[in-house]
Amino acid sequence: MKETFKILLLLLFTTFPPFWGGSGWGAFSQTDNSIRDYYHPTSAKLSIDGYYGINSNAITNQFTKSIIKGQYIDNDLKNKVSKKLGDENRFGGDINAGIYFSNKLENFIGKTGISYYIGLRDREHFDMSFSKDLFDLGFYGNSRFADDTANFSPLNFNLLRYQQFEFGFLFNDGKMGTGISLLKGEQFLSADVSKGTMFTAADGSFIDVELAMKLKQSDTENYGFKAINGVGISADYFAIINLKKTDSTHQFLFEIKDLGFIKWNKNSLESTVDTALHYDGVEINLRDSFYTKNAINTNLNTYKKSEKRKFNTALPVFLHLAYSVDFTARLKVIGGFKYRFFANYSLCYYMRGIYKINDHFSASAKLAFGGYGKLNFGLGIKTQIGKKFNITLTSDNLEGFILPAHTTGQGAFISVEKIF
Amino acid sequence: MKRILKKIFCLVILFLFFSCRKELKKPSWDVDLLAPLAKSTLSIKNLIPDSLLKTNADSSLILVYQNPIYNFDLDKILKIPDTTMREFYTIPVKFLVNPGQKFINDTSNNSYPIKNAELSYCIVKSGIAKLEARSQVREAIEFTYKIPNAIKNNQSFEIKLSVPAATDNGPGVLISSFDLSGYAIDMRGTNGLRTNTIYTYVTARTNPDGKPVWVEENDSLIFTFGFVNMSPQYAKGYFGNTKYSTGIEQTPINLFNKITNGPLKLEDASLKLTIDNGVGADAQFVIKNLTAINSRTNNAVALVHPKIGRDLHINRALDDFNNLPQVKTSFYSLPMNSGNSNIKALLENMPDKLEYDFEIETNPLGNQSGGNDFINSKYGLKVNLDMEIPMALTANNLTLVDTVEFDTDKIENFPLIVDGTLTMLVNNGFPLDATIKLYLLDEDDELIDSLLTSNSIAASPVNAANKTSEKKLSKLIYNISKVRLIELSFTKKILIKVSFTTVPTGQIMKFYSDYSMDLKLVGQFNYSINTD
Repeated sequence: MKETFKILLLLLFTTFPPFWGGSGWGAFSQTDNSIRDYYHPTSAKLSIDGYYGINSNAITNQFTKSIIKGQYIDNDLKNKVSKKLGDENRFGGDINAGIYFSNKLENFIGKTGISYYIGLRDREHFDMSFSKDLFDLGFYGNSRFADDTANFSPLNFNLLRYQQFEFGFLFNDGKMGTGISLLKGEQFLSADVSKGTMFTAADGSFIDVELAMKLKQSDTENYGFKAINGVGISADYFAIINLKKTDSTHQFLFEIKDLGFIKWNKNSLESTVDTALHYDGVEINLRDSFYTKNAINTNLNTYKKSEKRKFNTALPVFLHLAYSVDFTARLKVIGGFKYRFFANYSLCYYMRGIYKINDHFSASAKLAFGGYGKLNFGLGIKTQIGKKFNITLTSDNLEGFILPAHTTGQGAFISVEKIF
Repeated sequence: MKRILKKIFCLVILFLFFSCRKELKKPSWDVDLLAPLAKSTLSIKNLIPDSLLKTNADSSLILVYQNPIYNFDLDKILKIPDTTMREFYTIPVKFLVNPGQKFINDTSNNSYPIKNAELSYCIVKSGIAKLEARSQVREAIEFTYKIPNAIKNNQSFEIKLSVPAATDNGPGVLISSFDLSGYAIDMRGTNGLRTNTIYTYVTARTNPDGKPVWVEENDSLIFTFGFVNMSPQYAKGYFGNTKYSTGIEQTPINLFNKITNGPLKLEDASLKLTIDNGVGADAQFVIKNLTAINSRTNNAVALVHPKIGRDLHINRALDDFNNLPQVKTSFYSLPMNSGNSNIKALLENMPDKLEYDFEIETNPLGNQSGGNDFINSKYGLKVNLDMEIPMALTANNLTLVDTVEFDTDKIENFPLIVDGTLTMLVNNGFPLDATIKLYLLDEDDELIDSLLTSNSIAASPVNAANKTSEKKLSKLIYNISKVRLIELSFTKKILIKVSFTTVPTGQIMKFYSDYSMDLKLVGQFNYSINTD
């Protein structure tokens, strides 16, 4: 069994010419932006990094690109998405950019192997789970639902923008770390539709809508990077454990990140709507004019409450469990799980191989399933330029650049490190 | 230096990271929408004001329509002309007049020439009294002009004015005017036995603050007093025996003016020609001719009735000062129905004009009232047609045309419609087949295009009692192409042409108050979503 596993890994990574080599856990974290990456074994470093990633089980890259670029979305684009949609669908993504400084202390309260770090980071996250009917209703219209009910629930959408000031310590030569972040909340929007149906009469003579939803949003009058609409705190922690005390070739990783919350200020809005609506046209008086409107529609059992008040929101907490094996001095293989709470995330399984080609260049490959998407394939490189600079380039969704019309994930990570 | 450059490098990259966030462009896509746009219910009561409808016990409807034909002008009975009354005073002998000495003190009955009338009393609705005084006396003259029998607010009409002294260049002249509105004038003179007479009282004296002055022999004072633009609010007397003829005149009738085609057969109709006399004088009225003209078909139907061309005696109105309304009008009604006239044929001609020729003679038997004829400006002599048309008819492609305003600028999101169809869902409760044609007109009423459909509105079936009991659904579908959407954007009015045929055809169908037609406009559009 172990041999079979080795052969599979070999087949997987022989597609990349520079072959296997050892590397640290933090070499190609990519989406994690983990504080594991902040560690440097010998000296201080200053790093800037940026990441974007969008994924879905159905929304294709080409469709996403059209949305982002403000292009016209034709039926072909819509059809490719609609075919992929299931009963419950996911769509989510992150944009994350930051700068941090870490420094290894020679001695800290009589102990060695301790580093500290401080950093600034801009975070943007969105996620949603939605039904196929919602997509079809929104992008095809209600004609296809004539004499039928479109069920656009459950629908859950979250958008979060915030900035963080992070600081913390890395212990035991980077095998454990913990940190605290102070958060400045910029924008929050959350919609949770527990019941949403729309029935269209066969001849279009009436439409019945049932809607029960909760909406939360931060101050809509104050927006932009400078806006301080909330404050919060979060914590990060990780630990790398050798399975055998003196043998680091088999290691276990436990990591939790973004465990925290933001308290949004008193100008935040929380709304609850529970309504049944019957619409059968605008009543007009033909004797007067086309434009004499006497009544619009009939609301049945409408409940609507909207108030400005403070509320807390939990961050999408990131949990990461992994197991690594150093097959050779150059090759490390990692398998693990990732999960994000409160974020419409599906459990993500992944396997990654990291190969150290020489002291200045290493490469990785990754195969993952889950998260916001389905099957993802990624590659990455890390290279040292001169003696003082490291550059890392990776993508967890290489398929998104190759077949954008058929694949659903895209993302890229770049970091530039200055070693002091 | 190298270190500084590296720091700058880092800061620039950091800045780029933070500043690259920008507002995304908004995408667009098309959706197929199916939704009701508008609805309305049409019943006879929706279309015709309640004041024009009566409902029978069986809930069948009667159209009640009143059309004024002729309004007799009171000026033809009593016209008060503009007039001038001159009073000429000549000094017979030379004498010295001391300051403030009265030297004229005169009362006179002035005849007011009014043709064909002998007025004893008049309340002035509007009118002006004009005064001109000329004096050859070489001192200012103060004079008083009074009409003792012209009273307003319990005060007689009285004016006091000063005429300037005459000079070598000519006499002293004063011209002035006064409003007579509201004055009640007894026109019977000083003895109360005359008519058309205004009793005046004139005095003149020299200026009390002046000097003694010699009034020469043959010096004169001339007062000219006139009435202009006199219109009575009320007048009493004898208005004489006079004949008036209207000549051949036409008056519009609006009842059928939206019908442009098709024959109409009525089950019945009745009409009353009414003469409402608010004048306090007897009259003889003759209908010489009454013809219904349809300008569209150029068809004219003259009324046939035994009273046509015959004298109709119209009683005088009564003057009742003690009660309101003060005037009790006399009312003459000439009923016409299918039994005594061709009124049905006259209405089935769907006239837009009535041609008439009437003759009116006042006081045909002379002064029967002993000079107590009166007019009150609020009341006259009016001729009306009061029609009652039971809504029981046969229509065969009877076509109604109407125009409604239409402006796409007022329709929200109209420019986002790509193309589609409009479906009119009609739930018809009337025993009528109908076709609807819509014509798009621009701001100059020029035809742009038409919206036509091959479908028609089906009549609701009738039961054994010839009454509909359930509604019949029809769908009228109009294709709205991209080209037509452009045309619609230029449309300012829509001309609606509706043709009705009663079903079963050829049968007289009654229309009931509970008949209605539900209309619903449903749009199925390819609609462009633009999130901008």
